[in-house]
Amino acid sequence: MDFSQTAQAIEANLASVIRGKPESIRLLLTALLTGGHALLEDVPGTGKTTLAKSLARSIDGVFRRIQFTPDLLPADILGSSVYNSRDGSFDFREGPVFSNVLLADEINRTSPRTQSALLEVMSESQVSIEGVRRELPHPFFVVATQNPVEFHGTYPLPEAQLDRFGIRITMGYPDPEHELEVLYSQHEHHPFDDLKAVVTTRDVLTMQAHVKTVRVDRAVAEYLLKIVQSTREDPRLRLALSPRGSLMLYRASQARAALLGRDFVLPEDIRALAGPVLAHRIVLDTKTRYGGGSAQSVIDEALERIPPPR
Amino acid sequence: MTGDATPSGTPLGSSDGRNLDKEAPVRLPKAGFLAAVVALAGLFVTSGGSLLIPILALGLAATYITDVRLPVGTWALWIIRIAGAFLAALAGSAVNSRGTDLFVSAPAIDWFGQLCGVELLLRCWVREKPGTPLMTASTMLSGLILLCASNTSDSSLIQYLAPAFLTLTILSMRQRLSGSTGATRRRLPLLNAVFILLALGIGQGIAGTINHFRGDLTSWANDLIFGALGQESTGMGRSPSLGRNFDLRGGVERALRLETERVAGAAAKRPEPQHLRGVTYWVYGRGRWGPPGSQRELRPMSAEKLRPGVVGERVRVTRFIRNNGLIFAPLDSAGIDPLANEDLNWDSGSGAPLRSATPDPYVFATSATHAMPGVLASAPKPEDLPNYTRLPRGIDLGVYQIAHQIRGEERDPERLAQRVIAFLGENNRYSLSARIGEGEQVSRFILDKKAAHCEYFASSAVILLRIMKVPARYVTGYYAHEPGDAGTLVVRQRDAHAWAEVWNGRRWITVEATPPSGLPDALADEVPLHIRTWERIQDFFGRLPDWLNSAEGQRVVLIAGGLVLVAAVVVAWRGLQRRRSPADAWRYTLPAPDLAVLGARFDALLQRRGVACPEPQTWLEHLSALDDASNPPPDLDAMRRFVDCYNDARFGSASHRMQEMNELLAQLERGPAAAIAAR
Repeated sequence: MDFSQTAQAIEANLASVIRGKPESIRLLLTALLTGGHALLEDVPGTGKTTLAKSLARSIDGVFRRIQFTPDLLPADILGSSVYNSRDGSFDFREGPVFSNVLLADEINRTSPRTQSALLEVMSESQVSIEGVRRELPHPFFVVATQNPVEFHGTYPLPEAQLDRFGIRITMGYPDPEHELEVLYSQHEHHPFDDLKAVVTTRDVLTMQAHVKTVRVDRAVAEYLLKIVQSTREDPRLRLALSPRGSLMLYRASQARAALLGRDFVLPEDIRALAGPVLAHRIVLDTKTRYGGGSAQSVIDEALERIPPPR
Repeated sequence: MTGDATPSGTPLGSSDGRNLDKEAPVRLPKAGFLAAVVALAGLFVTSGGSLLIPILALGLAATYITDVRLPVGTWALWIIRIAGAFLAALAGSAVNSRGTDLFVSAPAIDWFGQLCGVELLLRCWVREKPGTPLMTASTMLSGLILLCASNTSDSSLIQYLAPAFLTLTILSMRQRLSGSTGATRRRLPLLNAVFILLALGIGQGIAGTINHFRGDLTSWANDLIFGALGQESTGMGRSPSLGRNFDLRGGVERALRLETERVAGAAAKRPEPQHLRGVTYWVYGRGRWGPPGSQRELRPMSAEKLRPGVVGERVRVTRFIRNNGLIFAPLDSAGIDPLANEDLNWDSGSGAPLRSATPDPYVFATSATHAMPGVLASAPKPEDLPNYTRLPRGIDLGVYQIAHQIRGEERDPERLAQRVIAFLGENNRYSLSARIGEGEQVSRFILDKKAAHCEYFASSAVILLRIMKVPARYVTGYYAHEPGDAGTLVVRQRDAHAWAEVWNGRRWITVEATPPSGLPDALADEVPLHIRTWERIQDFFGRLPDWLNSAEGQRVVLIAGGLVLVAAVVVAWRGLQRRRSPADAWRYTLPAPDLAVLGARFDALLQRRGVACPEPQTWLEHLSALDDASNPPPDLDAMRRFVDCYNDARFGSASHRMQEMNELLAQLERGPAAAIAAR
């Protein structure tokens, strides 16, 4: 299997449904190839769920969707033991997390208790219930969506949960030209209905393994760490970047390089991914937050200040 | 109005099209800049030529030349603020030493004006986002600077600067408001001309009106503030009141503080308890003292004439009473120095009252010898002398008989005064609540041997002495006796007092007719602790400006300022170190030496071509930006190929492409034509 051809096939598949958003598609693919998870964040109607569903359909694997609601319980996600009247035993009934691609739709609409049920799932790809550890299928990829504008009836994701998302993707509105394409493409039926799987789960695992072979020069890794370190010395931050953040940026830059047909990472990869990978992991202090600062601006400032290696 | 700065304002001297990919920094509208320069020019003149001010103006002008701005919230801003305050203080002390300041408080105001200038400069040098209300803040700061510059007696300068400032400020607002519609733009020159004329007219009109009516305004304000001095009088009532110059309601409020000016090296010496006279009266009738309105002629008296041959110790008096500018001083004062007040109004006939325009501190000098009577105790004019022996109608004949009995064969005024004091002390008792009854008050007090307060004792002494043909007058003021902090006397409203003064043929002397049990020091209760504490706090802050102006204070300020500056530099340095370390202090793992040489050559090539790569960008990002620009280099593709090869070798593992890179770079260095031909 050729890495580039497979990647291009997935990108083309997704681009046939999601018009004018190649960057978002590439970021989602990057998240998939790093073995991490993606958080799609934007206002309703921008195609978050469609993008996630399209990716799931492009992979020949098990796809499950959870619509997060305030009354959802952890057992509804993870699964629970059910009494078997025939032999008097308890049978474990798997929850929707036992899938290859899990769409957690409107994840911030459920309580933090239920959100926290995903912590172990997302970081270790396993579920521990009633003292038994159950491995999830591979690959396991969570795509969560949330609307950042709405506050009523929502529960902001805890920092620990946010840290487990590899990449945060903001879709944004399409430009008029592409929006016109969207209108005409759905003239008769939704192009999503024509979508076919183009890769198998095995292909995905192979691609993930290939990503790990991409070379990261020491100077590039030092550049990455300088950016991460700068957040730890920034007095405006209440919570700086964790080593998990560094690792994710490292891996994501490998995936981006591979997707662009390189076998080595450039400082440009780090610069392009610093915002999507790092910004959602840091927490501003109150003064900065109310002073108009944003996590993205902190990362941008670090990129402006720290010269990349040449 | 919320005027904003011009984010899109084209810099002076910069060409269009430069920095297309960057946001233009926020700049003041040019008229706003000129208004600030006008205000600074005014401050420069009135401050006596502080060198910091032209630096500030140049700094403002420099914002139009460069796009470089300081980041918001950086420590460098505070370093500049502290350094600015320090430099302004230094400039102020240099100007002071030349003695060119016009008002006493001018250095502090000039200093504040320069601080405003520093803040204005910072506002213009900070990298604000477009749309921030820079214009509002800058207009306010420029206005404050002009206000500080207006602290001068030379009104002609401000008369021209103020209209200019107003005009430019309005123009700067017009620049912001002149948005964009074609109609508005066409009308702009006409509107600007109208605004200029309007502003000039208003400014000149206000200045001219104030100048023309200055004399009337001043006298009107004086009458309003100080009351009608011509009508002043004081009546004897059940409780002591002493007239409108005193407020006896509160009791313990401080009126004055006396302190002997320290001689270098000597310990602080407390002034002696003494009578501080404020107002003298010479006409008595129906229980009231006062000069009729037509008789009190207050004339301006140059301060110079109040300081003839000042000898003795100088006692500085701080006034806490704000009711008027009445000056209280002992009768034997050798001279009075009104310090901040250039002129005093006084009644030269009686030596009192003395009034200054504002209740600022003043100094009186105690006379070392009694040979020199001093200005207040000097001889009255011959034509005024009969006023002091004039007796009112209605005095009971019994009082005359008593006066003759007291007098006997004695003719010496001072001994007669002693006899009167002794007589009143023997026959009358002191009481704060007088119940004299019907009839002529002084007569009843003496004849019925009543108990009453100081006003009755003083009035009776004056009347009895006048019956004996001894010139005497009634005086109100304070009896200063209460020791304050280190070498001071505190005078409170409860120390207000009345006594008599007698002309002994050579000078006036103080005659205290009130028995010792009725003097304020005998009546005074302990002042509550919380009041004394509050007074100490007031004193501390009250003395601070004087101390800061003193040589010692300026030395301490210089040392403290220097220490703060050093501390700020140390803190900044440490902050810089912390910021650099470890994140910024790391050095990247270097490329192989031959690769590093190629990289340096490529950087130099870009620089020679005038398309140097800015620091935070990578070469690829820079080349992409050049590709998007209107005029990309013709050999951009060759450059991109070189960078691809370089990146491959630097971050990948393709060291075998060294030869290819060398060739590419050599082509690029030969010029665009060679690179294109090679392609």
